[in-house]
Amino acid sequence: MQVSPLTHQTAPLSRAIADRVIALERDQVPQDVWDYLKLCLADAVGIAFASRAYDFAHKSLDSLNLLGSDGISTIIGQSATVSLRDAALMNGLLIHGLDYDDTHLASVVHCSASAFPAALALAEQRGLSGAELLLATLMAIEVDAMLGTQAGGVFQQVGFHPTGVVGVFGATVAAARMMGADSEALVRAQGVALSLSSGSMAFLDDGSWTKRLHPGWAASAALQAAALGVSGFQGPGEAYGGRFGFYALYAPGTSVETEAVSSQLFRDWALRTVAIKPYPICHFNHAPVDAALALRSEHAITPDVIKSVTILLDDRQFGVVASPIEAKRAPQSEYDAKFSAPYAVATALCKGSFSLADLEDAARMDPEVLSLAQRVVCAHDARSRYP
Amino acid sequence: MTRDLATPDAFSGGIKITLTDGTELEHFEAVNRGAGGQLLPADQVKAKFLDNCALTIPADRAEQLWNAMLNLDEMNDVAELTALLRTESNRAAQQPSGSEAC
Repeated sequence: MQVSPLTHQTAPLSRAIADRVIALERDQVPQDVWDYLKLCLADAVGIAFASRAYDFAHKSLDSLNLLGSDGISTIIGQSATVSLRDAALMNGLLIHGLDYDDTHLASVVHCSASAFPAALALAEQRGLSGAELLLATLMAIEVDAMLGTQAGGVFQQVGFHPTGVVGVFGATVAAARMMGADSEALVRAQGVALSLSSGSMAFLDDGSWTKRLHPGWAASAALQAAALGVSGFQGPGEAYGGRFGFYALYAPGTSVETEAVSSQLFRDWALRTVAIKPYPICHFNHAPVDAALALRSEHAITPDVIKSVTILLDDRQFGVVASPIEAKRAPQSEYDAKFSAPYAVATALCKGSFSLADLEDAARMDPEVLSLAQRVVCAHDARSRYP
Repeated sequence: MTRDLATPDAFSGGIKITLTDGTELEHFEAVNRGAGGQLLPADQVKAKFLDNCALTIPADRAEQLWNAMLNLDEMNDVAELTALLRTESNRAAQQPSGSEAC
């Protein structure tokens, strides 16, 4: 096999993943991982119900009417059922739509949002048990976290949304195993998934909605890839290495050592580093909000006695949540508000909390919050663990 | 892997407040709540879950769903779960209002 000079591959990773996925059993999963998994998925379900309060959900669901979708599969929050893949698509969209869902921080992949919808749709179709659903979902999450971590942030630099491009692979192997795939079928399915992996970061430029779509699309594509692989459709034998493989195309310059990577799979449980979000905003803003709430309650601070506020972050985070500072102080949309540290901290200091309601139009026009946001600046703090 | 390309297991951050009387207060969190080593405990996840569900479904149904999710490994057929997931969300009563913020 011809290998890209920048993408080194010791052995096919598709095969290594396939073999480990087939060997995984429930009793290999530590109890703390199993218990935390249930919390992550409950969290995902709650967010899906919340999402149904928002316009993006209504418009997404309306799109199914244009295409037609007959089936027996469940979309969270409605009695009308749809086709298998549309259920996976919509549930992924509802779970990730508010950017309030759990995140594997090292890879910045929202793993549950693609893993759970794909596994749920298949488990429902096949009448599987809750434990089988949990195991399949965990499998997908662990594979996604492993694959995403290897790229070390390069996906975003190239312009790909990690949750979208990575999510299809974990869900594919989980779905294929639920379909009874052998190792060969799992390899074929991953090869097909490579051609279905997608997700542009272009939404960053205008706050548009495509980010919300990516994990659902990954879940739906994964069901397709798994079904093709299990049916004998030929996919490339190696999805990840090689000159036109996943890393060469989506994260050029990164390298993957199959043995080193796959030997950790289902041993070092990545789920233990998956963060459930306490606030519906960018992770960069969480510690400043917690700090604001701590000072507010400790010193009984009210906005009128605050002269100025300095948010302490690593300066490499500023581009996302702190600059340009004038725009960040008065976010123009719900989505802008999620990525504004001044707005998050000003809201926390004024209201003593930060919930979904604080992203709404009425909250964003609150004069007290906006006035305080004008007194907020951001500064670099060397104590940050930002790597 | 270069420094720029490394990805963190947690996000640090803090704030410094100067009060009108000149007092300076500072608080810094090395690890954000919810991240590695500070996983959100079940009661906080449940509170978030109930808040989220409250936007579109009744509280008693949300409680049932929470229990179903936490007992998922005891469920013989996920049809039990999907029956609950099919709870019709109330699109009319849901638009969140700023009044819930506090």
